[in-house]
Amino acid sequence: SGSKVMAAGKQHDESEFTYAQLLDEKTQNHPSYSEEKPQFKLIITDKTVQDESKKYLKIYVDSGGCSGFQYNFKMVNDLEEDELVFEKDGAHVAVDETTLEFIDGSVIDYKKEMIRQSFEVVENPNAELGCSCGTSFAPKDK
Amino acid sequence: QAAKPLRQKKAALLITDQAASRIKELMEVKEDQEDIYGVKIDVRRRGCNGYSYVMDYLKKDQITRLDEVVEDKGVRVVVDKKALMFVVGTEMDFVDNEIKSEFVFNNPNAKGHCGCGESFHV
Repeated sequence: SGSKVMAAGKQHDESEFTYAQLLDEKTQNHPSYSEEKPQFKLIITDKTVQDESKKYLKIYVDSGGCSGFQYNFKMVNDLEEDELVFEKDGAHVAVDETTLEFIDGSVIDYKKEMIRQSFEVVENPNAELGCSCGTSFAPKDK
Repeated sequence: QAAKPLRQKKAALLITDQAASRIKELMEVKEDQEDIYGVKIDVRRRGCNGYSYVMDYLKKDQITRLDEVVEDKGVRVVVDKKALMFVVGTEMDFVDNEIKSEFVFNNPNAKGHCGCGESFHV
């Protein structure tokens, strides 16, 4: 069910994204693809499932924030040409190729605190510095 | 115990309907809630712009004399004495969308804030 972005029910559902679960051939041909490294992890929230009209959680990196780059999240129905889709338990995450280079190997989490609940990119192996709020980062020199 | 005000004064914090209903939800899901008096607002010196807000549950015996207790719309919010000077007059709101749900503090004392909105300076 492509429209199901989140597992139903009150409990939040934890899902892991791996390259082995890629949906399309294009993704498997991507240079960063490797079967050995399970990559993305996502904790999917019941907040998201309420909006089943939207198909994908889109993650994209923009310039901005106090550390140079920042993570952005959006629920979308349609994919852009260069977006790759990661799937787990009916949840779909769309990441464009440029963004993937910045966040490859990261954990996609849904952080629950009293003050704030939100999607976050954590444990990004490509990032050197992070802002304390977690939305901004500086990439490592390659 | 919080000090009793000598005269009627303006609330230190304005709580919107959305914020109040979220605090009620938080109180309901908390185990051993009979011990819990309300939620506490404090500021920490962190973030790229000076201060950021922190929230937690609070028991009655954790309230000190100079903390400000705001009771409105059926909820209790305790402003820590250290935070009071920073947040006085702030509107506490709750915003819920498909990407995140968070408390938002519209603070008239803040002269600027971080790009992500988490930290501010006065």
